Amino acid sequence: MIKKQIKCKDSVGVALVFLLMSQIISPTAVSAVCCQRETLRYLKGLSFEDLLQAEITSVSKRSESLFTAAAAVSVITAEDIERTGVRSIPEALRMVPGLDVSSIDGSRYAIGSRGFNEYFETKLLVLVDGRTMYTPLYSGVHWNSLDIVMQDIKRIEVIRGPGATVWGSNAVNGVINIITKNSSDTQGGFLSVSIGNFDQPDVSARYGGTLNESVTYRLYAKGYDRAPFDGLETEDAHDSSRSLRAGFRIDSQPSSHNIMSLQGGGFDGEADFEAILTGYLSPPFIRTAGVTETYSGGHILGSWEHRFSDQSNTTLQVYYDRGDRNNVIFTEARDTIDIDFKNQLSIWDNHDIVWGAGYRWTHDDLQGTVTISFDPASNSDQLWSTFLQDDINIVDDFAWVTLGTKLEHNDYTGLEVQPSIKLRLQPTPNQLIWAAVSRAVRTPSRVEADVSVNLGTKVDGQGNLVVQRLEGSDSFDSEILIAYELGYRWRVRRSLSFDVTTYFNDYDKLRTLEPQNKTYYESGETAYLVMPARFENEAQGESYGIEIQSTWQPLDNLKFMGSYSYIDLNLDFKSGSALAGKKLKSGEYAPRHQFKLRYYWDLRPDISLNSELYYVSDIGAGEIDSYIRIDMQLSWQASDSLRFTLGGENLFGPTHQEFFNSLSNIVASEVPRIYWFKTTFWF
Amino acid sequence: MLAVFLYNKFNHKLRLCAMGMVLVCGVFSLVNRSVAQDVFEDQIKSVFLYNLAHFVTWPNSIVQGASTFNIGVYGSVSFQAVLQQTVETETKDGRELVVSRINDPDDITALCRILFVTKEAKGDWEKIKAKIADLPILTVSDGEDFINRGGMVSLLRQNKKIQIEVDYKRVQQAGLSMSAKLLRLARVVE
Repeated sequence: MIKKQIKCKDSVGVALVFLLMSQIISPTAVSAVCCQRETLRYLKGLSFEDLLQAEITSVSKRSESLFTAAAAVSVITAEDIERTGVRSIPEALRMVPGLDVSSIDGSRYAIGSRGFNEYFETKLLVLVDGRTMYTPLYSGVHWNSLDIVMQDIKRIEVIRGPGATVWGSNAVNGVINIITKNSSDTQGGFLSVSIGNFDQPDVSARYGGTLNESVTYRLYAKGYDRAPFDGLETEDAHDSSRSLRAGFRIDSQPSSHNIMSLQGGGFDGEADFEAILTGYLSPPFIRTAGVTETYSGGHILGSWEHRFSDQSNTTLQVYYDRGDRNNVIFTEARDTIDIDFKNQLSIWDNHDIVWGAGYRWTHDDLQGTVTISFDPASNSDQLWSTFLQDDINIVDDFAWVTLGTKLEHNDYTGLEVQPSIKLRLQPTPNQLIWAAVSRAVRTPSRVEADVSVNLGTKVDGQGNLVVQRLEGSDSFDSEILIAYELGYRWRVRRSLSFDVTTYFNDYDKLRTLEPQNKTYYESGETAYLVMPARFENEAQGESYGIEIQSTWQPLDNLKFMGSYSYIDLNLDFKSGSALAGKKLKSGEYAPRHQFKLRYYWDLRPDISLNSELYYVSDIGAGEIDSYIRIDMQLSWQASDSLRFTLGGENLFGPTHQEFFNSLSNIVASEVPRIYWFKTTFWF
Repeated sequence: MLAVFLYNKFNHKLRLCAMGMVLVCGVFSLVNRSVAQDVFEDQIKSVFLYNLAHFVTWPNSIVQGASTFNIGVYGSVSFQAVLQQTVETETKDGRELVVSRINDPDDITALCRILFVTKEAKGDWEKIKAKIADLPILTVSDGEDFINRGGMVSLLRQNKKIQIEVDYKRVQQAGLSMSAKLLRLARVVE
């Protein structure tokens, strides 16, 4: 679940020393009774489907037991993805309680957690099999290039709230961890074709086989062509997209002590959008144009998990990732190399220690246009990190304390310390109370440090041409969160469970845009005045909220999952800010209320009806009205190898806009009614 | 990193010595590991049994009179202990789940809802089968060839996972029924 690393010259040496340590420290290797009970509790919490997938070799499942996690965790399972027929990661994330998922246009999303949601900054860390999807360019995620064959996803774990102690910087308001299936679970052939008014078409194909007794593989490909959404004033929002990707995964378990995995892939895509172009020196100063963003990339990732004993387990992971993007306004080329090491030790009876270390190197090349430039245009950044966490069972089978901290060194702000303390109590096997205090930071992005972008042009009273320019600053510091969380989980019976989380977030040094006093002339073909502004940390604030979720399965063939979340966010600008004294309230950035409900209903063993309802309260001062969105899927398993699914999205509501942002240069679209018909074939 | 440093400082003899220790420790951990794995395998099987109690329906006439829901274990003592731990404080339709160990086929009564015959005891199966005849008892085993030899549900280890096989005709003959979900996920043998 957690993958962290070290730079080691002599990994064999490290391995030997650990093997010795693990044996010496834990003379009684057979699991203690307390652990057996915990394992049983975990197994009993699994669905029948998951139980069939439980591997006998993975004895230490403790880290995966979600019921006992001292964090606000939600999981989207392969069943959820299958039943809802979601075509993309963002659409799958809509199901997560409290998560704010807004379509900007046909291929772009703004996804935020706990009150912050902007296209360019979300305080959310996203990983696919341990590979970071968070771009150091602007502290966000390129959702349109983050695509996977949906049926290859094993599960998506979402932590709402800080996860920085283990996951590192930028895991401020949430961590999204996407885990793909082992290739031994995707054997044989698979083909899925979806056609509709939006999917034209959407095709996924996969083939899995074995190379020898202990080595399995899969090859996959996915391609789509998506029609445009509705424009605000026009029929066609000019936001269609096309993409093609292919890749492989090889898994090997040469012995019960070693698990190795190698995966790689490449993609190529393009997504149209209606761009707002600024900074022109002749009127009209702001223009919109239908343009096409292109993106491509690839990655290769290897991991090696070695189990020294039931008490000691290490993982080493290395990857290389390349991404290219041209969004018309600028181009970005980025190479990333990441090495991660993690070791888990269960020593004595009551300590469960995880520690790790990591190194990341990222190199970019940014080519600007008249509007935007970066100084330097090409840059390399390094990130060093290490963490240690100890989970201590202080009262047998009843109380646990988890202490941990991350130490991280980045090239912008130097050393960052991100500790946390967590307490959890399990008064009965079916109830858990947890509390946590954590510190997390969002480190500066490349844009905040090095950009120069013309935001707008105007003519002042004297007839001078004035350009408003945003300039990066080396003095921009990390944004800081100290979060206080309290949660309660109750499994009333097998078919009914509740989960409630409340939190209080204390933010400091939040990003602001501050106009600078100096105004200067710049002359080229046309002379003009520049009014610069730059990023500073002049806001602070707090938020509190509650997230409630429940699962109820009244019948074997009927299951309901519901959630409600509320947030109150208050930010104010410090005395050093141009906006000093002003306040920003929740509802201006992200919705205050969200209500989500879905059910899975098997009408017959071969026919299922599933439906999801989303209510999102209004955002901004009238910019986004509250909306209700209902999606439905009707599925018929015609034979063991053939399934037909009919799906509809936003079925009963009118077309609606889900996002607005004055800082984004993308014209938002309205989400139309979407229909699709999907044929899935296994061979 | 200190450990690595020290390791590199080892001279050749020390290195050999360390290798020897590693070897010994490795063998130890293998032994311990297989014990832990067996326990884990039993745990998975016992949770399967616990799930079966909820996915199978017994005839009303049988259920109504009883105050407990009995699961019999024929064979391994250690499995009985794990199952005991799994179902403690659990209920089925308001009835407490009770695990009892059965040593003799003659001790099997109609009170038993599920009978688990552990793989160690598969030699006694023919006798047990004769005793049960058409009683509404769900018979389950982790022994090989159980279905072919007249059993209802088999929990067999295949590679790293437990596979579930069901002879639904035989289940129905005993007056029991199974949920569609279970039948969809199990391998149903004709």
